Amino acid sequence: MSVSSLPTGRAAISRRRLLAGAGALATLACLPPAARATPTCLPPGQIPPKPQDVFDLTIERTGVHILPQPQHAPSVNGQVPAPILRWREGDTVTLNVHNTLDEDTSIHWHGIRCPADMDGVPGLSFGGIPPGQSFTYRFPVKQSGTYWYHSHSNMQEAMGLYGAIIIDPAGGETHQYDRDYVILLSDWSATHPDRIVHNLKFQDDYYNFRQRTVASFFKDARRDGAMAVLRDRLQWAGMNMAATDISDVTGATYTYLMNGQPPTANWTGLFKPGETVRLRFINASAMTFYDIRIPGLQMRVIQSDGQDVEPVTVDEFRIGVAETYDCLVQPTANQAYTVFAQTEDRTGYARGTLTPHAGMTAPIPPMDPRPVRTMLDMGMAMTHGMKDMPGPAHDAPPLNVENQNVAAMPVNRLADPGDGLRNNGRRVLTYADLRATRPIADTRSPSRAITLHLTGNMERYIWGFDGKKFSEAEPIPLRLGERVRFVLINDTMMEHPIHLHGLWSELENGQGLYNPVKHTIISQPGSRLSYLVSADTPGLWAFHCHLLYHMDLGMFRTVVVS
Amino acid sequence: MMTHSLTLRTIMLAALCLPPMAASAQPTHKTQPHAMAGMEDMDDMDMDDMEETHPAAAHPHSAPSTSTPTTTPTPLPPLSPSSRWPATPPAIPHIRYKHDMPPVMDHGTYLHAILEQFEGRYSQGDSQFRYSGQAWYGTDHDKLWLKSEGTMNGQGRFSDGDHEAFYDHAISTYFDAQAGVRLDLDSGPARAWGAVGIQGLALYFFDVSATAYFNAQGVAGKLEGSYDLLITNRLILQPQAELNFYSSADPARGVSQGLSDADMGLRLRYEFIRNLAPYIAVTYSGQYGGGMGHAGHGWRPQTSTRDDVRFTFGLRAWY
Repeated sequence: MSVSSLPTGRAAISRRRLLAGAGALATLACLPPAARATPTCLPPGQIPPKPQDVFDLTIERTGVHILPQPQHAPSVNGQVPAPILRWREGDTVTLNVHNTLDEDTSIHWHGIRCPADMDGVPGLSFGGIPPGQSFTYRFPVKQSGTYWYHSHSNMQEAMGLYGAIIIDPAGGETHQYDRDYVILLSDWSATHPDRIVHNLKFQDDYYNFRQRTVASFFKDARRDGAMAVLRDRLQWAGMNMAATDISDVTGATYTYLMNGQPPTANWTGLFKPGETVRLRFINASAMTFYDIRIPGLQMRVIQSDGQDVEPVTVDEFRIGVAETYDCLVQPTANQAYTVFAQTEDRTGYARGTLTPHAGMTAPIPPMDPRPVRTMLDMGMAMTHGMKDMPGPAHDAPPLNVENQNVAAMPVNRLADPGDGLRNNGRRVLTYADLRATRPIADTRSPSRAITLHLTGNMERYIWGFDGKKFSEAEPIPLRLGERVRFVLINDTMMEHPIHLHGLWSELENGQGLYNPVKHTIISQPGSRLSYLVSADTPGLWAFHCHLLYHMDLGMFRTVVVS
Repeated sequence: MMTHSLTLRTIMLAALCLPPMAASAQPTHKTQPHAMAGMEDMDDMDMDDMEETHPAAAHPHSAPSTSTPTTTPTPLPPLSPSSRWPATPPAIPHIRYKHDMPPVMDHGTYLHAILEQFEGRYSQGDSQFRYSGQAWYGTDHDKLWLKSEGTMNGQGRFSDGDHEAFYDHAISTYFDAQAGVRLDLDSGPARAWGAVGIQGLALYFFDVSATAYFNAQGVAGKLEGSYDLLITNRLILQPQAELNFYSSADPARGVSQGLSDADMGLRLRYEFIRNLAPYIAVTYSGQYGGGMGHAGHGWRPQTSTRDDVRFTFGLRAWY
């Protein structure tokens, strides 16, 4: 593929333009398979020209060349990331998944509301796909927007088995735009995920090379005074916690990818000045939160987790693992723009370019200072009305082998953009900004509340809810048809993207009937938040932190709707 | 730099009051008014040296993000139980996972091993080799735990050979209880002990262990502790100490009553990669009291106390 055929004018109505030539900008693991009709191998980020309802997806081990040293990764139809699937709301889709690996596999349709046995979590109404066998997923598509799919078996998701899903709304798109790109973010390591877990079990800060040191003490002391710095450090050490604990796995091992491409490869999307471009951001990482901005461009956020929201114009937003955000940008100048996705811990970034001419690039901005955790993140917020603050909840979990901390004063952080994003001079999206465009369908009040503490012992690298990991805890029962409130209290000092399969989570952010509807909700450290769930689909559902290693080491529950 | 005596005292203190400290740590910590000062800022980093920036100018058309983002929990709208959807949770059903396959396997077993000391100790005309390592295999809660240490002198004599096997059970946030056996196997006469102890991370990140031993001849105790002081993120100074106590002297093994011997080190290692770090050190080993000097241990002097300070270099490795 060589030359791009740019559209010759701005489309009058919203429709997608496909840039066949952008494939010249490296398609990495995209090996055109011989005998497979669907889906075709498009350049990364390019959405197929029209939706389909039947797919053949072959999961195989493929050589990939993302890092200097070649690796093997589980792929779909030879592609890493997996091909973008374009569906249409109202269709019934059929997906024939063939497993040619030498281990079980599975595909979970993230955020898709489907019957429990089509959800693709091995063990929960679904037996996994054994080596050499096939499984046919078939379900009606009752929603639209940007979603993604990934393996729920072993560590395949961390090794590359993920791809985007785009669903056209039955009634046509709400917004008009000229171009449409998927921007799928992920993290990539030469180290096998099992080895990463092994390392973290031995030393929880194995990948953290930005700890406070004797050398930094003097630097800090010059700025803040020796006593203040010493007191602060002793306070953290006295809890066996580290204020520098931002990400468990960092740029020390990760390369951060945009549409499967490392920053040096520079994924590129083309536009003509004046066009409106839709960017569908998907965070398919195993362990990485990204802060996304496009210097010189404002982004109109129009969807969150596939659901329309009242457009919010921002300079920057944070995307938790497994979340999706759709944004419109309107570059008017004949210049290139860098799509800059720095990780929350600022140890690296994914990067791409929006440009009117292939090959034109824009400067890469310097990374922001990385955040340092505060007592707010420990659930010990120091606010003015401290005397009136409620104490720790009476049902607080014990401090035990699996729990290191109890948030004494969890606070509402929905209006907080998050650590590292406050007061940076930019307008940063917060959860409080999200307002749905349609009122919620189920207006009943919830009849009961399910309070869950997010807990963990960083030192032992054990994660869970209420001081217990998955294998020691009971499932969470819901009655079919009931409406409940989930209350999450984060006792840990890290963000957790909490994902409930199969059901919607209506975040109670003060928008009333227009509360945003999500499938994955970031629980900030030391915070309390709540969301409403209508248990309208029976079955066994997974409920977990979407940081892969947190999930796998216990931050998981089975929700039973019966 | 820590002095030996300070290290020693801290470790002993830490070792003696472990469980209460661990248990009462978190809830009693109150936020200091000045705790926030300086915490939003950058810290030292190995990779980059980025300066703290707080751009004052906001983007046009945009308000900077709110400066007081946290609010106290607002009361939630009330729940409204009905006869059909009662506020009481339903009974927890018994669920069966398909193919008996739990969706996540969080009860894995892990094998780790560390060679903390693998070193040559030098003084004029004499050299020793010493090693000290541990390995453990098991789940988050239950492990088989092995420890071994020993010293080889220039004449090939193996002394202080101390080999232990424990069942290890996690008992608190940071501590494990251990019960097992210890065998003193080296060039001297063999001894066997039953052993119980605790091992873990005391507050302020001190690695400590305290073990009691017993056999027909009496009881013994061992206290160990170490601390990693990060000079930079890869250059780490580690004071370490081990103290051995005995209820009765065992002249055949050069053991005296009370504090019989101590072994300490101040090791400066560089973690080229996390699990392989060479180090240089000053090490000290001391024999106290009148119990030693047995003919079988010819390298030991006949005085009542011997202090032995040596220049040391070695390799720390773990799996």
